[in-house]
Amino acid sequence: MEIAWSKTRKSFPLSDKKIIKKTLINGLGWAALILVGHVAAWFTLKSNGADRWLLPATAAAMLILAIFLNLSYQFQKWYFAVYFYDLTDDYVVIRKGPITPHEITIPYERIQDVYVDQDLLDRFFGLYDVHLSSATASSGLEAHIDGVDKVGMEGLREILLETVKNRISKAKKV
Amino acid sequence: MMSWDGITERTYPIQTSWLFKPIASLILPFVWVFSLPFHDHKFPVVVFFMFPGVLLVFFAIQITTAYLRRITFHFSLNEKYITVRQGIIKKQEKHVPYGVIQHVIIQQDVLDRFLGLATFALENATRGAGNEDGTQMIFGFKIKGNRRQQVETIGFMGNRLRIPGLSVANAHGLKDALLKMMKENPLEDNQSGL
Repeated sequence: MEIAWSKTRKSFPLSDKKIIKKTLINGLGWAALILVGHVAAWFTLKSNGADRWLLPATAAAMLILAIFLNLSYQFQKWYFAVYFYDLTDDYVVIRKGPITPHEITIPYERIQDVYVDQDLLDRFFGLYDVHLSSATASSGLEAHIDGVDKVGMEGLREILLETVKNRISKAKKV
Repeated sequence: MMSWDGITERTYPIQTSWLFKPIASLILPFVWVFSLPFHDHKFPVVVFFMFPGVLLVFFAIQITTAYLRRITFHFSLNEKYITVRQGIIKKQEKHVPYGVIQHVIIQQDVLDRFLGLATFALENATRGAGNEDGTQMIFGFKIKGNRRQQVETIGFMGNRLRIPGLSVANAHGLKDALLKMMKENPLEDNQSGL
């Protein structure tokens, strides 16, 4: 799968651990769902005296989980490949979504804050999300680069803050 | 060199295929209803025969609403701001200076990709004069913007201006033109908090 490289993504690449993390999150959801279904099937079979179907039912549940995990992994690989972000001279451009693409472009002068966060799995995998906000509510949700390592996060943070500072100084002089 | 001059809904039109988008999204549920008598023999046959008529009326309303929204929506890029006029019955007009636009968005949902369409959107930092949080009063009922209509929002609602149904090339062309105007028309008082 061809990676959507940009100058910025080459300098501060997404970590491929992001694929595993996202697959794991989806996998846990599917596993919980399949487990509930399987327990219900188990009790139904037991109460109807169909014990010989218990093993095939368990095998089927495992197979379904493996299929979903594989599908989820392939999708996350695709999502990872098309993930595009670039810090151009004037704007930050972030584009995501292999099926329903979504692209946001923010001029540096509009950036209100840069913040970094990690959820529990991010801490486990050593991943960071870099968010930038303009003065709108939606930008906090839509404008973030998620799944970079510590070096990438520090680099992105520095370059964003530096560029915004320079742009403001330039605007004030004019 | 791209210029603001002449950039309107005429040069960046909402495609005709967009009119059929609300219908396309309902095809699967309707196929399911049509298949009901074949796997549910207790399904009343009268309802089955009435169904095409109801369907036609529903589709006609959807297409007419979308068409009216499209022909009553106008935008133009001027020297200092973008002007938008909209409304079938209640007419609204808004002027957004380039300097206060916070960001621009291009997005496609599944049907957009199938039909080769894209939605262009921009946001400023207001809560949206006229429509608080995208709510609107209809016959005395307060209705949330997202649920108000099957037909996609055209124009401004709250702090967002949406132009759906553009060709992908036009959506990117409009984005480039607008970013250029934003760069050329900065606010004197910089808005960044950093």
